[in-house]
Amino acid sequence: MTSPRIRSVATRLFGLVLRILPSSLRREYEEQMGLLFEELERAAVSSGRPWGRWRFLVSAFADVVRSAPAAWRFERRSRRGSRETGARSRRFAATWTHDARMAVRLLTKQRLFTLVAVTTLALGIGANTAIFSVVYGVLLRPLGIRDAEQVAVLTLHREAVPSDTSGFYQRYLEDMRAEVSGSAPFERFASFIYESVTLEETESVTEIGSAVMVDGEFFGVMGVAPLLGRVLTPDDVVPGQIGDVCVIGETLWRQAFGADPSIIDRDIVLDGRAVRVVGVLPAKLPLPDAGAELWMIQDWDPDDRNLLGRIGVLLRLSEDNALPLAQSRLRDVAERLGRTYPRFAGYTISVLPFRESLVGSVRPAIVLAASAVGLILLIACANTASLLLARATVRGAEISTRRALGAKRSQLASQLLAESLALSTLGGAVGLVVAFWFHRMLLAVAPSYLPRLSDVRLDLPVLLFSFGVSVAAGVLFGFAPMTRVAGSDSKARGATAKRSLLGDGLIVAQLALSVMLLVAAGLMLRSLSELRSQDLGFDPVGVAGARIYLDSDTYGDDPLEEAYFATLLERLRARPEIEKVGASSGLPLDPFTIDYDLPYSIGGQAADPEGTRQAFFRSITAGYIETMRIRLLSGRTFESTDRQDTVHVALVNETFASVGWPDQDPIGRTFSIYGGAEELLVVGVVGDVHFGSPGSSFKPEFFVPHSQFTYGAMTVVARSRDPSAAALAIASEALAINRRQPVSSTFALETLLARSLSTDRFLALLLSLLSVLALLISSAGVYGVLSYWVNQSRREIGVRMAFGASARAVVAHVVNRGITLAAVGIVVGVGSSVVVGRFMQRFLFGVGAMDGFAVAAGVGVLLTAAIAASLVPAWRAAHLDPMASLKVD
Amino acid sequence: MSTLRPVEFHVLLALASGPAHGYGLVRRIADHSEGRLSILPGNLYTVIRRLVAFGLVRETDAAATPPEEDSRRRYFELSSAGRARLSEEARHLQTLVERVGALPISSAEKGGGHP
Repeated sequence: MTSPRIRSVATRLFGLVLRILPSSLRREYEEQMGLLFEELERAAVSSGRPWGRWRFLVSAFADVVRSAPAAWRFERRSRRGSRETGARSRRFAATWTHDARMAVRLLTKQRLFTLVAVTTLALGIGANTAIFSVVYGVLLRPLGIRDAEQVAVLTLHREAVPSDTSGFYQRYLEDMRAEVSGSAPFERFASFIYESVTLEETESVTEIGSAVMVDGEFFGVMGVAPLLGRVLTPDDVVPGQIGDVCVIGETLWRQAFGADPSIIDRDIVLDGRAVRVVGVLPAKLPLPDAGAELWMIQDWDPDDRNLLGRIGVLLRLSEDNALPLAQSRLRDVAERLGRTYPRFAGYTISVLPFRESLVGSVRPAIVLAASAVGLILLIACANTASLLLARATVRGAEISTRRALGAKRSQLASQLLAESLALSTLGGAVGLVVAFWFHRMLLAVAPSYLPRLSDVRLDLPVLLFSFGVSVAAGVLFGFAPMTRVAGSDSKARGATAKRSLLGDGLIVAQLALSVMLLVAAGLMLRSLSELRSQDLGFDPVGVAGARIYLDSDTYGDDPLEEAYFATLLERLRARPEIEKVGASSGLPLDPFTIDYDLPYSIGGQAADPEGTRQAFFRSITAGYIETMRIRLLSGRTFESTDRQDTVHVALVNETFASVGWPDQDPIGRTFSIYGGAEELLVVGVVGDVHFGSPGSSFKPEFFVPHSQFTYGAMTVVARSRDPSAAALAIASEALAINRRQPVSSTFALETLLARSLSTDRFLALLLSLLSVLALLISSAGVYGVLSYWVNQSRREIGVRMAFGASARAVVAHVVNRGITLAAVGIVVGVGSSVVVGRFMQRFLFGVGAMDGFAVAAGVGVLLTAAIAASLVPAWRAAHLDPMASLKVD
Repeated sequence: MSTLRPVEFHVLLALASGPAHGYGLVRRIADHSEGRLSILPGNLYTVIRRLVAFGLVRETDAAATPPEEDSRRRYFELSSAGRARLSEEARHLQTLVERVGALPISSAEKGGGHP
């Protein structure tokens, strides 16, 4: 009747109960006690007595509790050996408990002070904790890949224009591998391409847009552990084609297969072919990005034109810190290969750490956000420090008395430190609530494409960070009142002057930091509004898009692809909800667009041997330019009369026209691509479009008719009063043509715009929020310091009033001081904003680093807040009873 | 250590018949006390720790452990000081028992067990 599960639970519980015993005893005998416990329990069970086990359990647990006092007595007695250190540590502990108790008592007595300080600190610590959860989740958390720092991504790009990248070509990759393989620091290369496959089930067909075809080395290089089954190995390679086994991701496994563990070794139908599932991988592994859901092995056919320029390459280095070496060796290789392959002359290979390739693009934005909340924490610390300092002034009498009674300076300092630590840990605890709330808000507004967003959690490392920040903050602002202790026995007057200088300094620091945040927020808001009002060159409002990737086995031939899209567009034109429709191989603002450029040469000119003249290429159908409302500047767009057997034509954009035929009319001219193999006649010039993002620069582009350059991966766009209805129409017409060829995804073009601005919007929102927070905290600081100051100079004010100063003069006297503090803060803050602007340069669009409007707005808002914060103490000063204030002291 | 507690005496007594591990000690103590004294893990090792600290008991090399037994088991044995202390304690108890036997209330012959 032994049930191993219960026994193990009981043993574990017993282990927990043992913790009440002294640690030295446990260190020595814990294992033995556990062992004996198990043996006795077995005996109790086999004794056959009713309830034998339960009786034993109760008495064994009780026995530990009963033994504890004796064990501790013995423990204490045996420690007597080192009596000296024991006494010292006891005294130390006693001092600390005393200090802590005093601190708590003080904080509970002065409720308003505590409330203000704790709220301020909670906001600062909470905001930092929440942002740190993003910093940790996105930038620091382990990737789930073995020795991830040894994995690097290779990119092939033009040396002169680093943003001009290309995927690898099969032969180029082979040659590169052959040149360096086996030599340090190159351990292994892996390569992959993204594919789209259809998953066919009895009822439905779904498109898996994020399938990855990998080579045999891929999983060896990445070093990941599967959730179920196994990963793919070189043994799965089928020469020259796609292998017949696959590994799926946890997300797909749950969604499509209900997390059924028997999926292993079962066949599923992918692109109409039975493929065996051999493993399931944990969700969100970046292979090679966290969105991937399905992996199959493909042996790259060197003659497959479909693969040209699409292959991604990863590298595992044989040792740490070998990246620079790998980089310099691959640069030499690229130079040699550039001579073999003229297409890649002038290209080089860059080696990027894998983590960098995943998150490098968002790091600056996260660093900016983290710096902004860091400023908030500094403001909160300065604020609490100035509050403590002002209070230390009030407590001057208490401190002097204690000094006179023989309290040591270190004792007073330790007590003050205990107070500030009590404040900061309390602030940290409340800050966790703020962090929780702020964290949820961050996740709600964070750009959805933020890599590793699912790794952003409030967990142990984040909480440890929060605790560390709390303690650091406590020590930081705890120094301020200590200056009071240090000066308390020197000449009082000098100390007061020094103290007020420090107090003013703290206020000025808060105000200056607030100005910096206000200016940063102003810059970001300005930049966002510039981006929003930017003319994109097309009109995304009211347009639906649908991505369709034709299956190359079914539609492998050009005429079939052309016929498919012609039929689809014909059907869509007949639908009443659709006004205009067209399709393109590349869509502006669409992150899924495979965007590449081709070298070209102008007709009648010598070929461009460097291949430096490149233009982006789009294959479009008739109706695309009109649907997108791209301006036609001269000539015509494509028509149904542009067929495979008629003259091959092209549209160029303004930038292409001005580079290719400066000061001439491009209509009727020709240019050629593919090294002269293809001659194109320019029939029209269209307006430039911001392709990558609303802030991106114009690039030379040319368009060719889909009927002459067919393409299997197209995005259909339809203009409609109701874009969501149009999207549905596209999806249903696609299914009506072929139910095994669904659309991959549909979307509204406006969402692409929103998405491309989401980082800017996020930063603008965050900075605005933080600057409001900064303003509140520093205004509270101004208010607090002026209130104390008014309180301190009641006598002086009383004398002034007694000698006939008007209430107005008294108000002016106080407000002036507020304005003076603000003015100094503004000067320092505006000076520092130059740095802020430069730091933010990369996020700004159409706004200079030192934008007059942003600075003026920041200064104006801060000054108003400072004056408002001064008015209350000023009003109170003006209503002092002169007689009463003279009687003080 | 001035006075030996009853449970400590029992542990020493159990070890008198040779080295033992925790479970063996529990069994021997139960046998010696005719099942009336059952000692449990928490108490046993608190006691062993004291006895080891006072040099009456020491851990013994478990090389003699039969191979089929759990190798995590640790064995204890009496030190010579422990043996001396046990016999002194036994003599002391003997005297006490004789004195009790000399009293007219001899029905207490099995009673107590502990001084």
